[in-house]
Amino acid sequence: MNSVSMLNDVAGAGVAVESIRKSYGTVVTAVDDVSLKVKPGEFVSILGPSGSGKTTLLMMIAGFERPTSGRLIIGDQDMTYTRPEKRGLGMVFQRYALFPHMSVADNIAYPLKRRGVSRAEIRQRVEAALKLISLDGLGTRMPTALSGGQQQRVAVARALVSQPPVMLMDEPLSALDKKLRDQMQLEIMRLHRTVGVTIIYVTHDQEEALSLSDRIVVMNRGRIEQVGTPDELYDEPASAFVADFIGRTSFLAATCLAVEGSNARMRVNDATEVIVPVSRCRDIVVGARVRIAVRPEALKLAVVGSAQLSGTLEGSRFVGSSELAFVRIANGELLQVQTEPGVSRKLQAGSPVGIMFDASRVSVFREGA
Amino acid sequence: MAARMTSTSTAGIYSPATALVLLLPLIALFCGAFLYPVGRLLAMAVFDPDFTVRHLAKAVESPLYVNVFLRTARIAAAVTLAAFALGYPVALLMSRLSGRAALFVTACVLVPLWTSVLVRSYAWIVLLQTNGLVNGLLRWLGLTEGPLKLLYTEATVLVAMTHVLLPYMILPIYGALRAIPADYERAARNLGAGAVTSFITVTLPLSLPGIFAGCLIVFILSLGFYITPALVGGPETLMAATLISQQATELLDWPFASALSLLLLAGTLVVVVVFRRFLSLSKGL
Ligand SMILES: Nc1ncnc2c1ncn2[C@@H]1O[C@H](COP(=O)(O)OP(=O)(O)OP(=O)(O)O)[C@@H](O)[C@H]1O
Ligand SMILES: [Mg+2]
Repeated sequence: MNSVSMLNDVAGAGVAVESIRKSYGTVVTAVDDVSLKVKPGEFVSILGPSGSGKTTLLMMIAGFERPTSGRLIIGDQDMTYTRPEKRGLGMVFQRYALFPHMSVADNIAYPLKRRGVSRAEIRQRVEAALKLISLDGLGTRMPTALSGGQQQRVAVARALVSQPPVMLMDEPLSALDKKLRDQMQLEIMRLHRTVGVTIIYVTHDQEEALSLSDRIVVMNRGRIEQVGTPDELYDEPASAFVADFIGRTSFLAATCLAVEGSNARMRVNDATEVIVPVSRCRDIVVGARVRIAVRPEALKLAVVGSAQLSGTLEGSRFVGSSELAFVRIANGELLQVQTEPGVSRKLQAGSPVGIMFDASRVSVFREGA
Repeated sequence: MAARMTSTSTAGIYSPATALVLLLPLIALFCGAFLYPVGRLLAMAVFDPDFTVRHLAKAVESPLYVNVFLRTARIAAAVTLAAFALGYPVALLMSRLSGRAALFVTACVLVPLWTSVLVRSYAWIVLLQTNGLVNGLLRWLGLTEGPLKLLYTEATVLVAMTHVLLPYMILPIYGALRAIPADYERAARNLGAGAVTSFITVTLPLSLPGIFAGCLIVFILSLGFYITPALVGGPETLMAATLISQQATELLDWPFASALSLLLLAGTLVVVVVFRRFLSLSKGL
């Protein structure tokens, strides 16, 4: 039995969350009427700012919190009130929660012992799991004698060794430094591919969510703002919140002047008029105050006068393959503009610049929506 | 460089000389009021006026005194066990509660601790004496004819001492339980352990340092406990501390009292050393 075949016959199970709500007392509603369908074998991230209810939602799926109302279905069983030990889910905690009084091997063997697996088989499967996470030979170590990255891998192995159909992860990489985090992301993706387990992954790091997930659930104040693939969230954010939360986004205040066919005419910055396709607008009515969300790559520096907008360069930043210029426009808004390397840094801070923008790549939202 | 850094980090903001000056009053008090008299007392056991083991021999050869020590050890062990059995669930409850309920239970544990031992021991006398509350209740219920002899028995000493020392068991265990992150038990449950199994395999072993600390404190305090056994116990329940006080204050046999003290102190130190080994073992787990 090699390390991969040990695990890859697991079929991931689907998870359906139906109108789940969790209130603490009468004031705090941590999760408010959330519905979500996760397909078998899918990698879904739950992304949101601190306090948005991500952990609470995950705790209800794991069975550590009782929903105030709603239903939870895992596989084809209603598990809303099933005890956590009867759910058979894997879970990786933010601080790993490796048992400090047990060796690495005993930690990994723990779920197998609880399931009454024979001693010989436990030894075999623990060894295979250690190999899978490239820690063979470290079974007798205590968890405290491992580095953060190694502890993380042991936590993943412990969660997977009993072949759960669904694995829950609550910010599993947040305690690691950047480089190790990138490496662990690759390992998690590899595990997900080889094992076929369904993964529900909580994070507040948008880059992590964008690079790992099949789909992302964006949460805000206990509610779902949008569910979609990374591309959908990036290109077609459903709300100003999502636009702001994902990627680098600048906002322009504007007024909708008229809708003409498939185009809307907007007045930006009190003077300039721009035309935006109606398809890029969400519930816009003529006369409404709106916010136009633009990504740096939809903006271009241009010669003053010929450009749609003008402003002053406040500074610029090298971000690897390109540069970000920070431009303050007349009404005081700060825009981030992507340029070729070396372009914006040649300009003096304080010099006037023009900005062109690609109206087909902006998103327009109602003010206050 | 490294040495400098450690010395600044441990010495903090005071120079060694300033620290010594600040500590001087405490050191003087400690030497004058504790080390010197205790040293004098213990010296009395073996110098009378020349070196002798006469008093020590008297203590270990007479079955009367050996019995007192054995009884003391037995009662101390029983009190420790009883306090552990009663205290652990309370500590566990305290560590799981939050808000008003936690405050209430904590108050129930702490308020007795702030009340004088004397008061708590007299309370037991009020309850258990011949015409006390318990006997009155038993007679009123028609369960007994005459009053039962409840006071001055070993069982009473045990119950009263357990009651008095219980907080010293609860607090260290509570501290250890509170220090265990909730995620450990969640992880155990998630990995397939029921509530009981996860308690036995995770919570209990992780609270061992608190258990050892609580048992050590209660056992040592019981070994030298004076007020409660003296008040609710009788001649048949004579314990080491009471015996020492009798020898010193009633019989005025100071050399023998100090020989008994020396033996009690030696016994206590042995217990401390043995427990410390357990403690370091359990930490290494
Ligand atoms: N036991 C509790 N009692 C009362 N309020 C709670 C409790 N647990 C969570 N909350 C509240 O519910 C809200 C959501 O909390 P949750 O831990 O789910 O957020 P999160 O999205 O995981 O945040 P983070 O990114 O900081 O981990 C917060 O406002 C929090 O204060
Ligand atoms: Mg959280």
